[in-house]
Amino acid sequence: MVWWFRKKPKLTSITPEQPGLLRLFFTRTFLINPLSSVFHFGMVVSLITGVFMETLYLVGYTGVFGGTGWTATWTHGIFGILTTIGFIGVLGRFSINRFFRLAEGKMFYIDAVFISVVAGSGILIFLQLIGTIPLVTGWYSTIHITSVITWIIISLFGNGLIAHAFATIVYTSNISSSGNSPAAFQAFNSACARCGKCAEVCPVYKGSDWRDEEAPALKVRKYLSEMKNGVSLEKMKQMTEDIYVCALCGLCVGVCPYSFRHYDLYTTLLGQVKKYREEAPHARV
Amino acid sequence: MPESRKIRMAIQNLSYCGGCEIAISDLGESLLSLLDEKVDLVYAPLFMSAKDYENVDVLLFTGCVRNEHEVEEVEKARKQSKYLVSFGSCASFGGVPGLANLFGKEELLENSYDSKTSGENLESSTAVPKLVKTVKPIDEYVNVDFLLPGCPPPPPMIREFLVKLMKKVKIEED
Repeated sequence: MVWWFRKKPKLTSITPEQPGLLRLFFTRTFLINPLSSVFHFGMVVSLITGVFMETLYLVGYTGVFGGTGWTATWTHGIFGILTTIGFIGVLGRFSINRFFRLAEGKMFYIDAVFISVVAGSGILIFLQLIGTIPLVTGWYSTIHITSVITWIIISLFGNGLIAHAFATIVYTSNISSSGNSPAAFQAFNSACARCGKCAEVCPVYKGSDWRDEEAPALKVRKYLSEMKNGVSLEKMKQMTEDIYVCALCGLCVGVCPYSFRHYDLYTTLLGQVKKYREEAPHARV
Repeated sequence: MPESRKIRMAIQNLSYCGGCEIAISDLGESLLSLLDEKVDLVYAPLFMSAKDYENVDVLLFTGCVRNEHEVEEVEKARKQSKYLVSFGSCASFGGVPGLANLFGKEELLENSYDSKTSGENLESSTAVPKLVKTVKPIDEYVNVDFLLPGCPPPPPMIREFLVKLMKKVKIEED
């Protein structure tokens, strides 16, 4: 059979329910990329143990952390190594999948550099610990902790991976109450995992010969956030032409790990365009 | 091993273009083997001449709810089926017919029947079911068990979907 997509689109789910945080974490990340699952799991556990150890250190509990020293250190180390392995997988997908690159944007490079520094210094600390390389007091740990804290701050405010993590917790906790409101769309804007699946299956994007500026699911989200602040007539005209190319097929909903209803996003945006036209009827957009 | 009975399946359609059935028939030979081994198709207006259906296991619903007659159809479908599938973009989200929500009912009717281009005014007869106020997907009226997006859903995706569906239906039957 002749197939018109690059890859066969894989449905994330055949039921209409929205996934909760646990299902997102354990099954949906696995569907995108098994190593991404490893990355997520390692990252969460090593962040929690890291914060635990650092808190005890800061309050002056420098000894054996109340008897949990070895457990915390080894858990942190092992899951740190898992994170590194998972991150290599994520980088692999990033290098071979252009849709993933397109969805992630430039912020991913900054995140990647920070994660590499953290992982590198972490591995050096591990090697020190098991005695492979000589003990140089303090330096690797200082680099490790400083770069983690810098990364968390930059990534949180620059809409990077940390922002994705926290926004996902917020998004999944009030998905049932907020429903399809514009507020939910805005929340999804930061929560989105930027896996690029929606662009990968889009027939309109395919029809436009994969021109990057035509990636519809990404485009419409950008426009919705721009529209909140008000736009010029010229810009509105261009947006309208851009939006009407969507075939409203909803394949992006079927493959989205969050099962986010992109269709409603489109109709909301079209409704806003119509409202704009009614308020300024002379403007034939 | 006792031979399990075939799954009784029906395909019902509301306001839509017919593309979903075309996509189903695009399954080709795998559709034939599916009908041969697993599925007993009892009602599908575009494929066969059965008049009605009752007590089906799986009902594939295509198209969105546009008028009052279709509201009744959806409610009847929920009663007569064990698993309700909203099949395709129209049934799941409203699809292209859903764009009518951007305009009011009056505006739509005026555009279609009362504008200068159509020549003369038409009065709606009582035999024609009235339009509902807004176009809605079927899950606004009844509970939907499964959902498949796509306009139309690509045939390989339909096949994958049906295979998963057959597994679920069978497990819960046993």
